[in-house]
Amino acid sequence: MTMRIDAGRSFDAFDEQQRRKVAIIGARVESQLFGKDERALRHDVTINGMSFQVIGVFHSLSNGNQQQEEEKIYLPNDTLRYAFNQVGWVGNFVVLPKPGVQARVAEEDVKRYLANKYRVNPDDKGVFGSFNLQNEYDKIQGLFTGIKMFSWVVAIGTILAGAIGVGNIMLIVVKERTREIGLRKALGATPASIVLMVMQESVFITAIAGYAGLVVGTLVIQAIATMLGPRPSMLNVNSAESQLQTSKINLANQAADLERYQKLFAQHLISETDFNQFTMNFNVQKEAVGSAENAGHQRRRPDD
Amino acid sequence: MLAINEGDLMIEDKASFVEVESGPQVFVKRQIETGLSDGINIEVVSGLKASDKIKHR
Repeated sequence: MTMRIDAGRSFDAFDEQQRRKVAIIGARVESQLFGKDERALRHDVTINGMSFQVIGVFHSLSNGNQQQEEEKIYLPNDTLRYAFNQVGWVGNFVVLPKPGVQARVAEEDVKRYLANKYRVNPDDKGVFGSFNLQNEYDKIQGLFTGIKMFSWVVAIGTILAGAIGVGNIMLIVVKERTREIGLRKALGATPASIVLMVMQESVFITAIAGYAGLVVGTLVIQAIATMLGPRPSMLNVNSAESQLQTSKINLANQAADLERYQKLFAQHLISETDFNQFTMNFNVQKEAVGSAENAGHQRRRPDD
Repeated sequence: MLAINEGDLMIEDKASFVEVESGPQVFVKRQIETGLSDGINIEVVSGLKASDKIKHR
């Protein structure tokens, strides 16, 4: 139970031993059953015609089903058993495995133990029901890994495309300069110095274009962000989701554009700087969408 | 009659204890005998004086 007692106290040994008719109620129970300026502490709540004194009011610290938790009323175990004729009877219970033990394994062990203890055929699945979250958790984890892998593939592909493009243009540059290189060689340039010259040039151009693209891309994203207005609130997952959809569509359009640009670039119809800038923009936007996607999933998960 | 908040009480097996202030912010565990309880407060039969300061838990 992850809760904090706001008023009063939690149960103690006396409540259990003396089977006192006392209860700890959630904050929402208090607000529903009692008046706005009324405190539940010391008062009685009636459950099935039986009065229980409220000795504590708690609020839940769980972040998913907080509302549901705060609608609960807790009674001491023995009180519940004796007051509602449930002695010697267990409806369901929670098992928390030790750290490092798989929930799936623990689930099987507990069921086998129970089947053995109560002489039930272990193959009879109808006698003991159970539920554990591990399967669902694994599924979601798998989905995340898939998304991550996909974005890696896309990112590497984009970088590769950029690298090949730059390599291509350098090849053209070298071809164009055959005469210049020949002249330099005739005047005594070593092969190393010529390679160095070409390399320096390509690194210089790529660095300038890359940084320019990064800066422009960031500015564009910022401009779009300010135009879109304030960020969606935590509760407004739906609108965030639809925004995500639109930016995904934008991204798809841009991916198509990128391909077209690559073709143009291959035909030397646009300059290298333009191309790099576009690639950079694309990457930056893709990252923005990626993180929005992650945030969306994280926001959604506790409620599922 | 002397009564304390039952939440401040520590119950171990058969005996009950409270932490009593012996110096500034120094607390000693002391055994007390309890009586009736109304759920919120519990009667202290012996082991505690009205001038004692106990630690709120």
